[in-house]
Amino acid sequence: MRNIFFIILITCMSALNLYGQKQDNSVNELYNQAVDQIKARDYSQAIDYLDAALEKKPAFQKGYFERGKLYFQLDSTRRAIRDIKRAIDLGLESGEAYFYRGYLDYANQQYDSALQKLTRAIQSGYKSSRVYYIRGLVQYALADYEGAIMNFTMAIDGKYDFTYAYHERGSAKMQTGDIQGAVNDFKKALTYNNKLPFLYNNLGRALAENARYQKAIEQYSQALKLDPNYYQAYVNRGIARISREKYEKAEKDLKKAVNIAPDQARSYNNLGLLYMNTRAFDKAIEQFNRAIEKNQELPEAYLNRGLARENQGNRDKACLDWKMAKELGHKKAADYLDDCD
Amino acid sequence: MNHRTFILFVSMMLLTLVLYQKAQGQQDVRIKRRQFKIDHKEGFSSAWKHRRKGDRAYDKGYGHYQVALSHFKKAHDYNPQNAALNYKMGVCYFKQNQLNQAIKFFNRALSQDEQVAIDVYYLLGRAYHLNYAFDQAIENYQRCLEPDILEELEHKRKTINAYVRQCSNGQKLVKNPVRVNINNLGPAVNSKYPDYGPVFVRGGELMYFTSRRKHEDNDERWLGDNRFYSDIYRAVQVDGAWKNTHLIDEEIFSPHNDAVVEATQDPLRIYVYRGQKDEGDIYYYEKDGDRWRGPKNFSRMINTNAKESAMCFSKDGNTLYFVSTFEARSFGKKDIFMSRRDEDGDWGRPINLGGMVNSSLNEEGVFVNSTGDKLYFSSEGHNSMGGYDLFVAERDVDGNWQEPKNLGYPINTPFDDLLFRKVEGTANKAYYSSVHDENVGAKDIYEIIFLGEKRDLHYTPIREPLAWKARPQKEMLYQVPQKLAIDTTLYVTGKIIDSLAREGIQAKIQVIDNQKNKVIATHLSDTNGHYMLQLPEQKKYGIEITAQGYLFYAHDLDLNQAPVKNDTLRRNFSLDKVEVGTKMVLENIYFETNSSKLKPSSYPELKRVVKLMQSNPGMKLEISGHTDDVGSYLANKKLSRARAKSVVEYLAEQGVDRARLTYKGYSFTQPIATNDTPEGRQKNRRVEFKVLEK
Repeated sequence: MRNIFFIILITCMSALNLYGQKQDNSVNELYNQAVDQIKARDYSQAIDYLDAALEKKPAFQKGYFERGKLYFQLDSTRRAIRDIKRAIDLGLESGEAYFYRGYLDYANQQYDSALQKLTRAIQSGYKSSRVYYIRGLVQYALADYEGAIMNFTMAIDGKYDFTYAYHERGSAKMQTGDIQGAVNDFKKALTYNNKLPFLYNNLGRALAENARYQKAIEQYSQALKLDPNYYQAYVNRGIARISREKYEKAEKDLKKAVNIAPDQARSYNNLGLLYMNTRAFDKAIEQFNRAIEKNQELPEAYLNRGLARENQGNRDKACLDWKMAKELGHKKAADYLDDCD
Repeated sequence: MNHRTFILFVSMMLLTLVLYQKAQGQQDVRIKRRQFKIDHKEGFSSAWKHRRKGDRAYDKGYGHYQVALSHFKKAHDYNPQNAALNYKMGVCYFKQNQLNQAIKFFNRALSQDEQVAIDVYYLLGRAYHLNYAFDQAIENYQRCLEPDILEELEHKRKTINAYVRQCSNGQKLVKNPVRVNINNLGPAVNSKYPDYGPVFVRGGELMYFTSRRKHEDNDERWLGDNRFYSDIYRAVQVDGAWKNTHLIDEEIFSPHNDAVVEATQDPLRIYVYRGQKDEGDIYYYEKDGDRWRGPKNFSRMINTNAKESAMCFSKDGNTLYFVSTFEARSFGKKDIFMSRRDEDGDWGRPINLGGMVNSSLNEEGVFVNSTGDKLYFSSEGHNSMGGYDLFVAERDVDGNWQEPKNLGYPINTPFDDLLFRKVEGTANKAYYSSVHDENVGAKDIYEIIFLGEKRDLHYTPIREPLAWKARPQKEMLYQVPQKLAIDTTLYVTGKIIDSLAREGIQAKIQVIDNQKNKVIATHLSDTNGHYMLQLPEQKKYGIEITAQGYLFYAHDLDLNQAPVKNDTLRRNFSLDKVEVGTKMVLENIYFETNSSKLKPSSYPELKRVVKLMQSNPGMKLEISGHTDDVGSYLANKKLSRARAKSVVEYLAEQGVDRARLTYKGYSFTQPIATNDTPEGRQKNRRVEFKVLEK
């Protein structure tokens, strides 16, 4: 009797095992078809296959993970987080999974948590350039610029032509005051990709920071050659031209920026400053008013309007503006208020 | 004869031409015909006529320099090398405050004749001084102090020394400018003539000021400086702009030099300096309905036989600060005095503010702030950078005035900076009279806006600090996954049975990967013949089954063709027992075409025969060859026999005793299938063996 029971048990287990294997095969086949679609860049179709695979096998870790990655590519961040988290909860022990969790935390501005997960990804052996790069971005966001520089350097060590990593390292160097270092990194980034307007724009900014305004203007002009509607470069070139007292050309640039991006408060603010330089305080105030109309939380516009009003002898109104700038968190506003009652 | 004509007449009687020239501040330099005329050059006559007309205008002084210059220019076209002409043109430019041109012509005159005029260095120094070129000014002033020139300019020694000090002050002040905006009140207020001395009522909305502009009732010049008489004007401020400037009501207008020096709101009074007698006194007018009542002598205590020219009340109106040339009480020529009103409303005896405020030179234009602790005034002394500069003195806790501070550049200039006024309630704004590049006329009224600490302008450049933020490239992060392995395992299960008894027998099953020619699995069925084989994928395998006392089974098993259900193929295999007379077709025996030569691919099957014979030592076999019916009997007989023989030869080579083997060729006499089809003929072309003994 015992033998019969044992035989039945073994038979059942074998049958179950066979069923399981058979089911895994169909799941894996769906997964592989998803991979084929991914290679063909048809992410939606790939997600359909993964949906089908997950319907057959709801505990399919890799299915969730890869679907999460695809959602991330398709900018469906919430779904991406849900799937990648599910994969990890189901026991997926993968450095890449932690990398993605870390990145998604970064995208959601949860920087401490992002840092933890990215570090875990690295500790679990996932030492790709991309993980160092994203960890650099997180440290930049946490204002740990030295840490960011180190991570971007690691990213570059793993991928010598990593344009973005050179660029971000340059930006971090700007923050630490190493302007020449930043200039060098931006230039290096441009040697690997000279088709990105923002690289020229930021190189221009670094040069302007070193008071090399003419060189900066040349870089902004390069950016504008690549993208004639790149309003940021118009704004910056306008500012550089103010520094060189080329007011007419500066006005053209700043007005062009306003035309391209009429909702950008910064353009009006800088146009106002142009008029401050030419001592046309009424016109300056008009522009600062516009800047504030577009962005009521731009403290610089209040500070500058206050300065224009002070220049017109209207100290009381100037003080009101500086008070507003202080409320908006501008560090210098408190000093200005020293002159107010 | 009206009053003004009378003054003119008396003046003409009193002043000689030489004295008049001295009053104008430059030397009488003659352009000599002999030096001016150029031999053989046409146009002398006309040029000389212009020289003469120019000189005539030049000698008249202020108000005529422009005319003089227009003639001198024509003379200059004829002879640009005449030092005296160039000097005079320099003077004309200088008097019209065109300093760069003045400097050019003075230098030109000097290069042509160093002794063109005794005061050329002095005037060049003045031009540089007023043009803020303090180094060159000092250089030229110092040249004037050299004995050869000083001999002639001894009367100016003190002045020149003062100018040198002022230049030195100017150098320091210009290096440390104060943060102010200086705004000209513009043509709505200022004229091309001197405008100065603003005072305010109605909280700063109504301004009275003094102007020496020409108007229909004022077309004569005062001999003192050859400018038009001064009169009082008013202007109103509407939405920050000054408007409606016009001459004050006719009740106040007089034929003398009138200047407004103070105004009060309640009662509405204006205080007027009038240069009528005693060098000038202060009167006041009070508004009564629509009319001004006055003039009334301000105070006999204040108005002396000296000149009282400026005044200011404290906020409560009980303290008066004023400027007087009252010699007996003065430190310099003009000093600032203070007087207090007594209980009866009378002004007390004036007190000189003392040497801390009053310098050895002139003070002018006084203003006290609303709290009474800051006194603003102008002075030629202290550390002035030229002419009158504005100063502020602060009162200490004991009520004493402290050392005045220069209000600094650019408020102060090398010209006269005078008559400072603030409007109550506008702490960072003030007004005064000065000369700047923006001047509309000879002296204008300016607004001073006091700025706080130096502030940076706050540009908002746009840097996209992170490339990732500017242009995120998610593709950069994406790694395409690897495909997962598919489990292709198949199961073959069934029973090995005796072909006759139909009972299960225990047998050894070997699975051969035909592509690799390799045994990939060996399985032993149970005693009942049950077996289960696990094969890695669905393809063609070789299956070899052997059992003791049975002939072997060696065939391909093509799983692609087999009825596989649920990954499982059910298949029974039957084995023939080794019995005398039993026949077995040897599969997989291949020969070269029309030859008896074995192909190597035949060896595995033949090796199985070797094994069979080894495991059955008493076994004797007949190896027979068979053909299809294509070709003649004899030819097929020969071929089938040769092929059987080749098999025997191979078996013998593999160690089988030849005595246990016989062979025969049967041609096509023993077909096992039809010869009408290719498949049938294929089957008939074969090698088989028959057990002769076991």
